[in-house]
Amino acid sequence: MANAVLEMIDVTQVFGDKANPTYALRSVSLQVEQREVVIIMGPSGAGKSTMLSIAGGLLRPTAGRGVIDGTEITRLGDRALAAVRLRGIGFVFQDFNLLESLNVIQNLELVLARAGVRGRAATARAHEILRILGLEQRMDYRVGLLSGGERQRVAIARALCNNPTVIMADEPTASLDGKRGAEVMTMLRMIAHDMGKAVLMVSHDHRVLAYADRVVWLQDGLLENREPESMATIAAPQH
Amino acid sequence: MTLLALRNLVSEKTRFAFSAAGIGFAVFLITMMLGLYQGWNTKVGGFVETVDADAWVARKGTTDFINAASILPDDVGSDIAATNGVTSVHPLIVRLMSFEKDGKKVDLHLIGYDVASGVGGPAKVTKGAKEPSGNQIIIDETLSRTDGVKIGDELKAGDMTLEVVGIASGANFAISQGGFMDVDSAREMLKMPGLSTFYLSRLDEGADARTWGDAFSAEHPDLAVFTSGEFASATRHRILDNIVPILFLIVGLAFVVGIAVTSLTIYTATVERAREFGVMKAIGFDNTDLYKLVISQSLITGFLGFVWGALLTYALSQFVDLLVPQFLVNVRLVDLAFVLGATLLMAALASIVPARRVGAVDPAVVFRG
Ligand SMILES: Nc1ncnc2c1ncn2[C@@H]1O[C@H](COP(=O)(O)OP(=O)(O)OP(=O)(O)O)[C@@H](O)[C@H]1O
Ligand SMILES: [Mg+2]
Repeated sequence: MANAVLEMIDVTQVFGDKANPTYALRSVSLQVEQREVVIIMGPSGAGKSTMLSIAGGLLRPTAGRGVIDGTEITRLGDRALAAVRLRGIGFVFQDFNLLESLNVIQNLELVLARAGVRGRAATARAHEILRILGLEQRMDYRVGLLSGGERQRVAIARALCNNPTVIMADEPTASLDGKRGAEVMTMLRMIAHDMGKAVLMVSHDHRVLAYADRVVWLQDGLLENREPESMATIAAPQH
Repeated sequence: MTLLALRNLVSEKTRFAFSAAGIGFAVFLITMMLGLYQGWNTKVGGFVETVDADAWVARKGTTDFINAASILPDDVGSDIAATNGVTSVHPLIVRLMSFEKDGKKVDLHLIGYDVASGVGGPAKVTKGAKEPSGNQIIIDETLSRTDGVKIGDELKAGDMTLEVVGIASGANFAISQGGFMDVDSAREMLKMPGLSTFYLSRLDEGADARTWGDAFSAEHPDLAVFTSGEFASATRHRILDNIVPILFLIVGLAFVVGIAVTSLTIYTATVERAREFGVMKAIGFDNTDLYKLVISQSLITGFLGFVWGALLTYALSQFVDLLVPQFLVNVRLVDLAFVLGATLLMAALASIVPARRVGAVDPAVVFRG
């Protein structure tokens, strides 16, 4: 695949000791291209979060390789890995995980500053992204005053700040109602299709399938590719 | 990062205030102890230094002004006057005495000096008569404050009665205060005709007091000669040597308590924010960034504690002197700078344990439920 910005090659992850091993992932391979929304689905304990942790450079796998933007991240040291996460990857979490003591724009400016963008340039960049995500009215709000949907949009804005190639999201709609969840999914899709990012996302929620370009099914640490259409037919409630 | 450190602190106002107060208290104790030390250091030897003499002659075995069990006959005075290079000689009689004023005990260092020359007399008379005679006495202002002795009061000891005629400054020896009389009247009262505790000698222009002292004591092996500087420093040591270990102990304890309080509060704050630190790591901050964050929080807390402690010291030092005049607090700028340094060191040390905790946070927590 020419435009694969994220690759996982034969990744195996074993937790626990030799006597009592847990195989979270068994030789999993996955590629995600630019402008693509890939959703990982599967039952609880299937290894979805583990897969995202390895793909996102938060965890080094027991075996196999992870590549982001041509860099083999599984070989990097802690510091270099942090740098890849800062510039190459944007993270979105189920429970938002914004810094509560800062306001909206400061949350963005902090990660911009870490990447060396400060002062006016940082403010301008933060404004630009907040405007795209419809948050210009909320810039000076304390995070604690925002609704769940707004917080998740701020989290997406923060993820986009340093212009990463990949966005990784773990259950980004699970803490939101249907309407807010749909808003967030629309945004992630726009980010992939219009801004050219690769979006890799984990979800339990069948309503998000409509926004996927591709769905992969993970069960007992094994991966299986499926078309969104066929997923939608097996998985019951459509919104 | 500094902004985040500040915001994190402010978002936990009670804890922030508590740790700053803890540090502030340590700062207060340390500054107060240093101030006390400085105060004593300047005042205690200060009287000896202000006396307008180049050399102090006493009985051999005398170590300092406070502890002077020296009795000299008047021919010592004439012997000194007869040596080369001496401009003038003045007797001084010193005796720690207990008086009574309206049934209350008043202790003072009675100092009989040569009123005509003023050598060995009060450094500065702030109120009343400047030259005592007969049974008149000029007392140190500290004594007038602690024991409520005023001009016109009578001090009694046995069959003698002294009349307070003046108030002077500069004769506070911390453990006691000075009272000045005419030397001959003092001798008469103490029934020590012709005797002195010290002889103060003024030397000719350009003469070296040490050289003169060595020559003189070589001829008078039963006498000891101190230069003014030596005697002042010996007097200081006499008092300070006893209290310095206690001061050090208090300063050390304050330092440890300051570290413990800050360390504990920063550590609890860190544990509570462990997930937030995990998030920061996940989105691209490394351990160094987070150490900086923790240390900034600690240093900001330390600095605030310093300001608060310094203010507390300042406020209290305005009153302590009135309440307990023996507490001669003298806070110097260099001491404050030293305390600031110590506070920041305290804060930095306090952040070690929390920083280690932060270093151990696993960024993968963000994807766990
Ligand atoms: N740090 C760890 N130490 C030990 N076992 C772990 C660790 N992380 C995950 N596991 C185990 O690996 C397996 C996969 O976990 P993972 O969190 O990836 O599942 P998941 O698909 O995200 O589940 P859920 O939908 O409940 O979030 C589980 O059996 C889990 O208990
Ligand atoms: Mg999970």
